[in-house]
Amino acid sequence: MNKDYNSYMDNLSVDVVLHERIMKRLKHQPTTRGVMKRYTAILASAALLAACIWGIPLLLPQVSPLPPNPPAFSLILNPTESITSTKKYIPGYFTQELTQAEIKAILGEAVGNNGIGIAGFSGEGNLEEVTISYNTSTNTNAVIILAMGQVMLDYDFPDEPEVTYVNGISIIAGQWTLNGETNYYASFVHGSIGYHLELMGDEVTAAELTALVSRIITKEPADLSQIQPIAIP
Amino acid sequence: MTEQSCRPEDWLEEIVLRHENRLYRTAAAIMGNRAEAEDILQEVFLKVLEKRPLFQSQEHEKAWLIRVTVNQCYSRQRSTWWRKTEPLLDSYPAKTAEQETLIDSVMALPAKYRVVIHLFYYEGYSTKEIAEITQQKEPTVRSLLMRARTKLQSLLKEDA
Repeated sequence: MNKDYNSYMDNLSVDVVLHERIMKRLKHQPTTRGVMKRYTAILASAALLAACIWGIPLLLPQVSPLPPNPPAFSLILNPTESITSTKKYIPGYFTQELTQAEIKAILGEAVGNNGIGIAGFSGEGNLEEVTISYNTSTNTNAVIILAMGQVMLDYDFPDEPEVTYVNGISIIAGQWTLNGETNYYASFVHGSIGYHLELMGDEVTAAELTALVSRIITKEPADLSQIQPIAIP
Repeated sequence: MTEQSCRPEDWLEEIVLRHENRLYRTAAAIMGNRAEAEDILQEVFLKVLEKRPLFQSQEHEKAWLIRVTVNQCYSRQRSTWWRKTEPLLDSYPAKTAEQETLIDSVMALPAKYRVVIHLFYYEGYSTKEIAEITQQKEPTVRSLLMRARTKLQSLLKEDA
């Protein structure tokens, strides 16, 4: 095995085109000063945009996205041993960006206005999954993946994972650490829709994950039938 | 590496030339396709430019770069933007039927097994060193390696 594997790997090498591409990218990578200069303008624009996003709603009548009461459950967090990849080959897979209206229709007001959403389709145009990423008010990065049926989990548990049952929904939640950063996640099926939530950030807490789960399961499951491909490539 | 030239392109090209093939093979083994491996390789060297780490030895430099490569692969696999392209064997056909069966079986293993298989057999790292590179416990790596071998044997038997 060893000989055949090593001989195959020896055959893989970086060609001149790729080497040149790497060197070109490295030489044209902006210096820190250039980046700072560029980012100053971007940050100024972002600050203005953030002021508009957060400031204007404050002037309007408020509808709180938070549930009226704190969740009456706490999630069992499974320690997660390692990350593996979900291996699913989808012939002709393509993606399509979601509009803000589509994002809000799927997740409601909780997302705010800074969500980015992508829908993935099979080559025949069938929806495979929807992924929405947004920053919460506490600057936590939230990623929510939805799929018909169940979202494939790509975590390894040291033992059989413990499940939290809430309103008849079984939730597998846990935490994992990569490069010193702790991430919280929860997976469950609500109605016929599989949800997988991940929260990442410096200040992220399990309570934040619990609140997000609560917000989703106390509402009707998302209607994914409205997400259709504009065109099949 | 103890001294670095003031111009990053001078020392960077040395590092690129010294490690590009090794890192490309590692990324290809984990990602299982050429296009992803090419992207990962560029990202890894951009990390070097960004972090400008000072290495105590060439071994340290190599291990650091492999660790970054493995992490970049995992990040890419976790990303929903990740999209599979043509299999590695289509880009780099095997030389013999036995080799094709073997590579096909290795690529059918989950990525976590391919990482340990590649680092153990190809790079010659010990399970302790792999544990440090992949930031896992050594018993976990040993168990992964054992499970990878067993799984690989059963896949090869199925093909035989």
